[in-house]
Amino acid sequence: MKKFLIALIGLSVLAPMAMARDIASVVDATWLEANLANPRLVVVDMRKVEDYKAGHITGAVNVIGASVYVKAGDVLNEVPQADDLTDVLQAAGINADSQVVVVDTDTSARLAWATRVGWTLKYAGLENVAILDGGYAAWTKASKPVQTDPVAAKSGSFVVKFNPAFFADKAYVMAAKKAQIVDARTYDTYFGVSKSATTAQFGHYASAWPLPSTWIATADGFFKPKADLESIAARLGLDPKAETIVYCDTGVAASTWWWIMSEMLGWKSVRNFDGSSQVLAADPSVKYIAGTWR
Amino acid sequence: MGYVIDASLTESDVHLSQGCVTCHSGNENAATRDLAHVGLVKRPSDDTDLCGSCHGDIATNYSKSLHFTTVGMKNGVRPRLSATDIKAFDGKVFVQSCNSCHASCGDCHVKGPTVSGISTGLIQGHRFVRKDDAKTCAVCHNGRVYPEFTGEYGGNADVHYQKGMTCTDCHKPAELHGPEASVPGRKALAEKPSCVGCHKPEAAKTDAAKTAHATHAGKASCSACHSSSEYRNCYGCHLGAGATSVPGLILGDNPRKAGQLTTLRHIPTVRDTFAPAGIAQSNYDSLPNYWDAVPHNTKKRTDRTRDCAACHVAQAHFLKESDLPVGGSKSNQALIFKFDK
Repeated sequence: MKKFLIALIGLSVLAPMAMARDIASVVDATWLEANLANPRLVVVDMRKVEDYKAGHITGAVNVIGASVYVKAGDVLNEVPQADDLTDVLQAAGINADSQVVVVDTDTSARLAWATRVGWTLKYAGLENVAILDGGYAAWTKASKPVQTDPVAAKSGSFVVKFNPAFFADKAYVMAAKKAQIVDARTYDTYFGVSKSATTAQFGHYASAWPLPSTWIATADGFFKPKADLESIAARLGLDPKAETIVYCDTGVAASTWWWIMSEMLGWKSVRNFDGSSQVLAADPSVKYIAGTWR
Repeated sequence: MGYVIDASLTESDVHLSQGCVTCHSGNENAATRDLAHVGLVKRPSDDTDLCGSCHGDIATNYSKSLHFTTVGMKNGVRPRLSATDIKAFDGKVFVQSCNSCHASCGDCHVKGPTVSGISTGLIQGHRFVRKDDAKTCAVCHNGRVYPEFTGEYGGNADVHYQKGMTCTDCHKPAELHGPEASVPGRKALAEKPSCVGCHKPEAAKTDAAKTAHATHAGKASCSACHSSSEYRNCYGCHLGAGATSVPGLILGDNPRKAGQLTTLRHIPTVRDTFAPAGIAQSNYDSLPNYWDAVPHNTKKRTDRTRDCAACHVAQAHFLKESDLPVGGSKSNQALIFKFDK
């Protein structure tokens, strides 16, 4: 019995270590090329099928973004149901211990879509998820190896088990009176000069901080250095230790700052509001505020 | 896509080895552009005999195919027309409108098709390609079907697209080039994709799926349960002015197979669509305003496969009396599905 207890304690200590992240949250083309032969590595190319077939990173599987963010009723860019998402990820050859690198066209115009897929995979329960800095554009610019033949992955065994700590819905947001709410949309949208067609009201939610998703990338389409991103959040007065909820219009732009705060900076309690303003501002009992800054 | 011809193709592509004039006519020895272009044929493959000189049967069949003749559009509306209407339709509307969109061999194998007067350019610097779905099929079928297939219309991407398939993975040359004998419309084609051609209902992975397939066999089309999201439905087309479109997922009685629940797509022809051409559509009510359609947004699990009550209680997406267009065809009523049929 004593040996059993010792073994149990040992396992309980080792288990979290085994599942700890062992890949950086953002990787570059040089790292990826050096690790292409790693059997745990799964390069997920999320571009359109036509673009993937025209050329992709050697060994990359195609999981189009639209497999990972779907329309649910009238709400855009929602997380698929667990069984549907499991099918998609298993078909991509993903196992629980896989190191998944998400690749989109670039990390400038398409950066938020890459982080959105990254967030979804983390929310689905995968630990080792990274984004290729600069996307496929950076890969080809660096003359790294490509192929045109589609890759048929051996089916993986990963089963989606959503991590509720990464997710917020409308009820959660409205009840989270102490959380710092971050609005990842543009200044114009936050202030209420303009709005997305998917959002019913001008302005922003209650006490939200404006923190545009466009601030996270350099002019040439790469993630800004970690220290710069940390500094932006600090200068705004955000507390890394406080619960943070990020929202935007449809939960895509919000995923940028979620990715940075949770995965790059290591903040412990960050949630992406998946439904974001398309759900929140559609509720007549919720009053967005226009014409003010925080 | 581009507009510049890759000069190296004269060496590598046999089609170009005999020089431009072989297909395009004109005068390659002329001193000026204007003189060189005297007698120029811009779309040489509109004459299928040209391609047929090497690609005999394919070109011969293609000259009678639906993509080339577009007679499917003519035959689709014909039951609504009187004998007088037909003469006027064939002479004006069909030639000026429907048939102007026909695809020549070159529209699929050399350059993307011209849409609304805008050329989409060469596929690969005038290289003759076997296929390039995204630059050919997708350009003509960019209103309905292709954007629904890729999810860009706003719904969910088709599961086949998610798995890397594009048009020609299902639609084979025999269908696209046409059979030896011409057919009145695409439904009459013997060679066309069929879900059960790949997915045997009895081979479903779970007992529940096997039971569901067996229970609904003949009573519901595959798309009735497996169409995942809204697709484009067009309304109110007026000659010269176009139509408007609205997303919708509509389930009703199959106008071509009574008693089968299927996905319906609203078609835009209204009573006075052809009025500007002096065509009355005297028999307008002989056809409904909806046709059975297979929206290309297939998904394994939908609200209907997950819950029997979606159809059998809530009748979600079912066509209702209140949905029918005001002033629409009297044939529409028959499309409202009744479970006691």
